[in-house]
Amino acid sequence: MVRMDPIVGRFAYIPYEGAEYRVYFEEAGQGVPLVCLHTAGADCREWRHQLCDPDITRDFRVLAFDLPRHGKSLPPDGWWKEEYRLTAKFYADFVMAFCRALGLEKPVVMGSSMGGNICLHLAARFADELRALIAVEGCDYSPGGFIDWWWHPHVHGGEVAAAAMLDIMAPQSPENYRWETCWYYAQGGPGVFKGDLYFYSVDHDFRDRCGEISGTAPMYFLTGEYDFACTPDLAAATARRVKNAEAVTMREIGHFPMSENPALFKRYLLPVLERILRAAPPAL
Amino acid sequence: MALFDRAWMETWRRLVNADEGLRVIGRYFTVDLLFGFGDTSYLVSVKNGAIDQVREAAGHAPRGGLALRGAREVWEQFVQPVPPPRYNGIFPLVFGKLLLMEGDEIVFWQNLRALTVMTHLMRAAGR
Repeated sequence: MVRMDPIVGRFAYIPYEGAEYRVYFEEAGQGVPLVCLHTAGADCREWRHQLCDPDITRDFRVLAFDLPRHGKSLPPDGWWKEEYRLTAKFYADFVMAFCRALGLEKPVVMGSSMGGNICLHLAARFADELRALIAVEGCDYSPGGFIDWWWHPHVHGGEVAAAAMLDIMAPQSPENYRWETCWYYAQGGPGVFKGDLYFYSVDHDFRDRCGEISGTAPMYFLTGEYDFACTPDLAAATARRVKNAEAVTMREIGHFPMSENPALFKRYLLPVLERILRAAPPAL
Repeated sequence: MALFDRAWMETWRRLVNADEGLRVIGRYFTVDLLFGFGDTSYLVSVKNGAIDQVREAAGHAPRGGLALRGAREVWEQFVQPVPPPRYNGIFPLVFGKLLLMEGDEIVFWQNLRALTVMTHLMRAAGR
């Protein structure tokens, strides 16, 4: 009998502002919906370990989708006529469009990097529809990433993105998982990583907006000590400005906890998921 | 042998030239690089992903090439077997302005994978 992952992959047509997006998503498990958001320039494969972990899928219906233009999700019509720049408005709206289209009731949203940053926007705008948010490698401001070299005719965009990401992972993380994460980056579409970083480094500036978050949905910030783009100090400072939030520093982990060292990440994630299940508010 | 002296550079050169992966990913990586370890600088001539020549040098970035300079203490952190956060790669060092990059910047972005693997090998060159 061949060994198989318990993951099921499907395509859904997500309506958004008069258009319909063909979106690829993967899911496994049952229980509280847990929607996982990938990092800039990557896709939902980053969450494959959590999708296959019975300690998580026993109580959670884990879903991970490819944002339009990423992985197997198609870009919108006319993509070839414009430069892609992800905005906070589109990103937050689209996450909620996905959740509503699939009929997910009070989901938990867990995102990493730009997926962590968007958790702040989701918490400010849609807290009543969410059970909790887990911002992995997320903070209120992360400048400097929106540069032309990520999409330049004389530079291989996939190779340069992959190489840059290699060393924002922790040296202690398993080598094969670090390079697997790089592989996802090497497969990104032209201009997609740079376009995502427009959100990450330009359109996302939440420094004066943390007060807009009501705290109705608790927020957890989990940050790897080797992440220099969003350092543990930055995440902790953000958490202090957000109601009903707390921050945890993850030792010997970098910018991609879920894919670079899933076993170690699990040790930090499970207690958070337990607390969400028990609906215990975070310590303030 | 001491960190960043001629013998250490020669050990690093041998490690780079013995790396099979670099022969593949560095096939088109031919450039002069200036490495500045505090007050000590070397001009490293790379040909097809291998180090052809190492010379003591100073001054500006080589024409058409790249200079990467940093405080000796920065490089000492970087070459530890398990470097501390912020010091674990060329990209974080440049992005975090712990290393100063001068010269033809496109060389860095076009060859970042080979440059990353090559500089990782400094950690195996001994202390």
